[in-house]
Amino acid sequence: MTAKTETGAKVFSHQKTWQEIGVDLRGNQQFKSWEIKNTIDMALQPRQTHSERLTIPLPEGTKSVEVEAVLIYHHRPGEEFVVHRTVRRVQFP
Amino acid sequence: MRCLVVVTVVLAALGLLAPDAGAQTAATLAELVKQHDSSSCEPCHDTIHKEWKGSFHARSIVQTLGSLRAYIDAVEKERKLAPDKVQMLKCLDCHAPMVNDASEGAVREIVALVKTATDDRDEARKKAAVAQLAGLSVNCTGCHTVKGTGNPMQPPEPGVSYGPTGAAGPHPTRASPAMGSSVMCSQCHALWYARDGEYLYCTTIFESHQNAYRGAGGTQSCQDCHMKARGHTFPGAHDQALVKQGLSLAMEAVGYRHITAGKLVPRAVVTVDVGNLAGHRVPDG
Repeated sequence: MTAKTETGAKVFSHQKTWQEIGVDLRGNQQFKSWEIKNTIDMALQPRQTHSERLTIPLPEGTKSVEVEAVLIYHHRPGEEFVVHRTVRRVQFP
Repeated sequence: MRCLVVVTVVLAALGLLAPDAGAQTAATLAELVKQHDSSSCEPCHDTIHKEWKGSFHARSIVQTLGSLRAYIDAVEKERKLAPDKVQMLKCLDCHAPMVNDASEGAVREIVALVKTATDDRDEARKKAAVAQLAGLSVNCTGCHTVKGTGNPMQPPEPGVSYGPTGAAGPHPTRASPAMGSSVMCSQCHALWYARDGEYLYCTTIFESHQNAYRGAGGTQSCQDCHMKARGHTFPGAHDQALVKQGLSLAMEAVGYRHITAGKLVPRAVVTVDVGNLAGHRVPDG
């Protein structure tokens, strides 16, 4: 997710990943993708909606901000695509 | 009892006993591929055959040669075992179901070809090996004969094609109730148990489907999303339209001014909802 002010300046960026690859606290891969599911499940579960609520601090004097959320599916290294994209504009009159 | 033992031994010596899979054991790779060649299905099932040709099932071997080579290496060097039929079926029962009908000799041919296809420095030999291996892919016989009963405890009858209805055809047919349910797909797209007791986590999508999706009230089967209106193309995570159908994204945003050190600082509160509408967790495989 990104937020841009009326001048086009990017003032916020956030990313959330749902995955099936097991990594340790240092970020090293500890499990193959087919082994991780026996240990911990970090995927998006069926018939469930995952909600993320974020408060975005904006620069003083901001008149409007455009927030864009992009859902990207990463199929394999080098093969990812945009699944959905949605934009909301917030005004500060 | 002694007579029965003698008769059994004689029949076995003559090679007249049916193999485990209930089909003819192919002595060579060429024989195996010929026995399971699905081109004979094409004249009557033209559309389905075309759909299948473009599917990932039709590339189940050539798409995974690197992993298959690494597995053979692990069997030979780490486990110090011969890559025989029992070991190779741990991959090939699903990536090339017809291998269930292969002799040990044919399996040795396959192993040699995988090595050539991945290791050989001669591009022409590599290409020829890949072309030969491609004939082993999951094709019509993989699902409609070898896995046709949908039940590993009930081997298929030789020469019989299993389908959802068992409609009469120019070849023996039989209705398989599993064919229209997720159970059919679970034979490969689930935790897999080998004959020697080893189990493999290559894919556990069926467990998610059955426990998390069906358990939470989901009613769709694998076929409902991956076959109905899509035929035998079997689209998966590589298909953008299907992924789009399986995931939802919604966002709400509201602004307010927050008093910080006597100043009104603008803030936006954004709520993003990502929904999984698929019949299993995402991602999975």
